[in-house]
Amino acid sequence: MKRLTLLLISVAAGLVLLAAIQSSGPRPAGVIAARPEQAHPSQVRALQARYRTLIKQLAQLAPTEPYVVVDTARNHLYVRRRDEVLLDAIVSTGSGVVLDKPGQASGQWVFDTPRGDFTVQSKLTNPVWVKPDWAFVEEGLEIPKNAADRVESGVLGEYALGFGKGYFIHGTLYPRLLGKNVTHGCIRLNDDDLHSLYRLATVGTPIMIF
Amino acid sequence: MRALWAILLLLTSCDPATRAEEYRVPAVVDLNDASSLREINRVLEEEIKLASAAQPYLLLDLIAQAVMIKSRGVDLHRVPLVGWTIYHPDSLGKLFHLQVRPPVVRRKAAPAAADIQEPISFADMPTYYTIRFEPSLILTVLPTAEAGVWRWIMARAQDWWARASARATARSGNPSDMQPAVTLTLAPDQAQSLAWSLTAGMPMIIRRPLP
Repeated sequence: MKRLTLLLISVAAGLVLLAAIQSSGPRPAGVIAARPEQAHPSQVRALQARYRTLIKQLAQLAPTEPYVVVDTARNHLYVRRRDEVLLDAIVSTGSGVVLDKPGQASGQWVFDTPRGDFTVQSKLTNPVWVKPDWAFVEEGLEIPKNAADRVESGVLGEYALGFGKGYFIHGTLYPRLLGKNVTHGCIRLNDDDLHSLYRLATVGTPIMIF
Repeated sequence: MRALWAILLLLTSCDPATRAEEYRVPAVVDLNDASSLREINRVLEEEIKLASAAQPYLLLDLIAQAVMIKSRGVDLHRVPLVGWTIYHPDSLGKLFHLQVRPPVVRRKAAPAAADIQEPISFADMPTYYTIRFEPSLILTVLPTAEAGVWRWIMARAQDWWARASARATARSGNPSDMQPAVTLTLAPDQAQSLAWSLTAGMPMIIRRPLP
């Protein structure tokens, strides 16, 4: 206990010193001086007008139609229209696991859901899964030469919405895993939420993933 | 035990980040203050450029006390700041780009393995990290004491040491080594949330406090 107290005293002394050094600087850290600048009223009016114009311009860039927001950390998907939430669904997103590419010294697949700003590029009903190479490698199987051997039906649910580079928002056979990061990068939803999303989104609907 | 509490109290009181709280100002823009208007207009001009490009970006708003993840001008997520410290505020009025996101330890899948690898979870993200932006800016995220007193003390001590070393280097005649820096104090889960959401190349704008 004595040692712990001594150690804490040393750290405290260091931090006191730090605080002293910082506050002796020309501009103390974290301090906001509430001291309005004396500017000519016409100058202030011009700045106010510019501010209003910019606020308007920024607001015009926000989508007016429904848009999709995906929170990959909390595994949630929202469909919003302006400030209104039209759908709040639990999803499964990328697991973050890596898999080595066979025969390549440094090549890897990284099973992340891509983060960024996308749009719905396709809307499919009764989609089939065209299994990519990693699906075979992961299962320890040979990669088939015949494209028809890659097709698997009934695993993606009733609908799929493509948002580029082979990534889809689709259904799941494993609803118990919703809310967890378990996918290879696609976004999985339960049947009801998938149906609602399919109804609300059109080709071109923004999908913002973070 | 009383001594321990006294030390903890002392540590809290000398934490520079708490000073930002003391000087908190309303999140609204002061429409009668030219400096405040100039700063918000600068931020909005940058935001409009980023929002037009349809890409997620960060807005570190030191007046609203939050880091916002935004895209197309829409708030996607808001991380509240418990405290902040800035060094060289004059150098912070630029558009910054994140060089590398915080490190993540990834599990490796073995082909045909019977056991499935545990996916990355929120808990795998760091609560204390330093990230670099281009042009030169160092952003340090420190957790509040909820993450554990030891971790909190160690993070603060490391941050203090890094800052003191930079200051010593700059005083030894190489001012270019003294980089603009921001230190944010976040709740541990919010620090992890921010680490998760960052991507390499992500742009960031900072709304600075008034001079």
